[in-house]
Amino acid sequence: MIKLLLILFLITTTWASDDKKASSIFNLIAKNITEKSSPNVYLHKGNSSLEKYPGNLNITTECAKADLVILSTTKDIPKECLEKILFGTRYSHLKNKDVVGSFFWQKGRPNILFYKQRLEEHKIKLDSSFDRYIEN
Amino acid sequence: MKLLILMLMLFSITNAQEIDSLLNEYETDSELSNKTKDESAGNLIVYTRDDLERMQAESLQDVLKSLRLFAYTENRMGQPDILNQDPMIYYSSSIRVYLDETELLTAMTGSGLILFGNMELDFIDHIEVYQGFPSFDFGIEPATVVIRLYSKTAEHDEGGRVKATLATNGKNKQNVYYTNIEDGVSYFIYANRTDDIKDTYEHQGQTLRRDTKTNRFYGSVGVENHTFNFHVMKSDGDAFMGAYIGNIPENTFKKNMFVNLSTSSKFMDDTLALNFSYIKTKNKVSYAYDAGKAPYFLPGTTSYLQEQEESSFTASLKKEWKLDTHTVSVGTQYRYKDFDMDNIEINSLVIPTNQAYDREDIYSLFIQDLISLNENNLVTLSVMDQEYIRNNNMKNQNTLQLRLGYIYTNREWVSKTFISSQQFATEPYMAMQNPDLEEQTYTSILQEVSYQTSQTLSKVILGYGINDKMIVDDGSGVRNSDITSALHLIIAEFTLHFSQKDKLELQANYWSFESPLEGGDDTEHHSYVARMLNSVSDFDIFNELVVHQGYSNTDTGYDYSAGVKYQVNKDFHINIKGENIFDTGLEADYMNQVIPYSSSNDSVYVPVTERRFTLGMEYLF
Repeated sequence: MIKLLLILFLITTTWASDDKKASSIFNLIAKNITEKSSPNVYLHKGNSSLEKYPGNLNITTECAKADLVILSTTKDIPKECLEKILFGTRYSHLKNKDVVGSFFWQKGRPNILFYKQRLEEHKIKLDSSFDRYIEN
Repeated sequence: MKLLILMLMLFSITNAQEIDSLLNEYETDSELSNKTKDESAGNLIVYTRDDLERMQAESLQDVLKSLRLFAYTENRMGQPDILNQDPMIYYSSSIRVYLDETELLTAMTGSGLILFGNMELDFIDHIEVYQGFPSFDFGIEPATVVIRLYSKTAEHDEGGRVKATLATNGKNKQNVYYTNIEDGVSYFIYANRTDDIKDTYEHQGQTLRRDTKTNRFYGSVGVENHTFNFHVMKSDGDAFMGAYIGNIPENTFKKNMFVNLSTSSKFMDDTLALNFSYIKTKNKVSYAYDAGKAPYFLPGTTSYLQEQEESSFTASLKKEWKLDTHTVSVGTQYRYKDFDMDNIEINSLVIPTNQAYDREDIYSLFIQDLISLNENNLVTLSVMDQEYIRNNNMKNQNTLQLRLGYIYTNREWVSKTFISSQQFATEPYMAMQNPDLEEQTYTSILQEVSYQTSQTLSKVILGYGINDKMIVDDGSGVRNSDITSALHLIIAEFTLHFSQKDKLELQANYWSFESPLEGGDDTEHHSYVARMLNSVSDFDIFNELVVHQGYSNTDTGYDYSAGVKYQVNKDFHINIKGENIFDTGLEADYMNQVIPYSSSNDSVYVPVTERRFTLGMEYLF
């Protein structure tokens, strides 16, 4: 009860809610990319939202078993991950042409962006709900 | 087959709504203002990142002009001063401005509003305004209003942006920022140049100008719980009518240089905060008068020059303990200010001055207890005390502030009651003019009630206050008033979110204030604001009407502004905005001959916000 008041009136912390929402978005993206309801996902250099709230994702510590690799950085990506589908968490990750798409903040707003050609190279067919997030 | 197509379409629509609405909800929940605002700290107004973007708020003035109870205006020298136009008295000293954890301070006036009241907002993420004698844990000295500006962060603005705007009267602005996180180190760098060109006004054979050029650099580096900030601002331009009454200068000039270094650190699970800040400011003002047209108090003057140097250092330490139902905060703060305003030249001759004092040390201590009575009720008790120690045998001052708050909340209703009594020390700018000035005391009670539904927020605020020993200038000099001035205020606000990205805000404000001057006119000020923010596809649309009635005895002002922002693609945005579109906004009345009062023809009426259309472009990289 006291916690409720503190949340309302002290420094309002909404990190938990942020992480849950971010996890839901990652879940939806991973499900669409892999066409699996519970894909294996490798987190390169961690991901606080998915570590706390993995949802339906199976977080694996072995890249070889992963259906999808979610990147915190494009530096030092293990060799075995490079053969997998790479997904970024920053706009700048899209500079790496092996990254099919990214979920990132820009101008104070969260964004999702996929490049059509990269999706085609990986034979990924997203459902039409993602059409507005795909660029040529 | 038709059934299958229909099912596919429905599935597609549901998914589209799901990802779109998830992104929208994520954006709303992740607003940085959700992590910084403190509802118990006062009567709070938040301008989120989304609000500022869609309002196309280019400068702090764009936000302050519709701030309830006050009206943004500028004094005779073209300096922001919300409460007053007389440069002999700076009433806005109790309005404190913060950038992140650092107070933007000028040592002489006590408030940074004079330098930052119309600062560009291109590096600001969101703004919180706390009214009604806010919580003491914000800063070392008491305040009537706290304006907290939060800079953009690498987490929400990774990468860079260049932006340029051009307005119909020639005003132009260019800025760039870049921010990133690498190996746990986040940084933000920003540079801006503004050439603020305004209309000129002919008065008594002279041309009044108020153009200003401003350059700014702001940088911050964050590592774990430590942040280092560097802020430099340089501006020069016209000083409009100048500070002195009697005759209008043929030419004016003012120049300001501001440098700030600050650090903020948090320890022990963020319960211990340690902040340091050093500020150096240099100001210069000059006036040239035609022969025989000297200011009233400076006969024979044809040229006037004054230079000031100020510096301040602030150290603050705050610790918070959570003990059962109590959250206790204790803070101790130290600030020194030094100021030199001795350099005055009249007709190129150095004038010997006798500056009453040039250093002030301020020691401050506060204790605050937030007591959770139960699930719905919270009580806050605060006490703060300052000791102002001055050199050169100048009178020291001790000031005390007391604050009691009671907050009730349930899912829909919130009630906030704040009772406070605050003493304000005399700022150096005023104490120089009269060393015998005493502390001013403001006592107030404020009651806020709000009711929230899924789509609406309704709010009513009632307030009553009495101000003792207010500083006044009655023409014979600056002194404490013998009159106790009463203040009444009523605020009603209604916000309707008629969809996730469309909202309508309505405000009606009334305040009355008894003049602290014998025989002076009481003020009755009404203001009304209607603001609508809409998003349609890649367009953000903004409409705002601000009405001020009774402010400073000028005609009612109707300021209608509107704008459209278009996202051409993820990297390129263009916007167009019209301010005071019908040129019927609030005007300020500047008088030249106050003593002896000559005639009504002596007034010059100047729009607070000039009619202007601005085209802007920004490119992200």
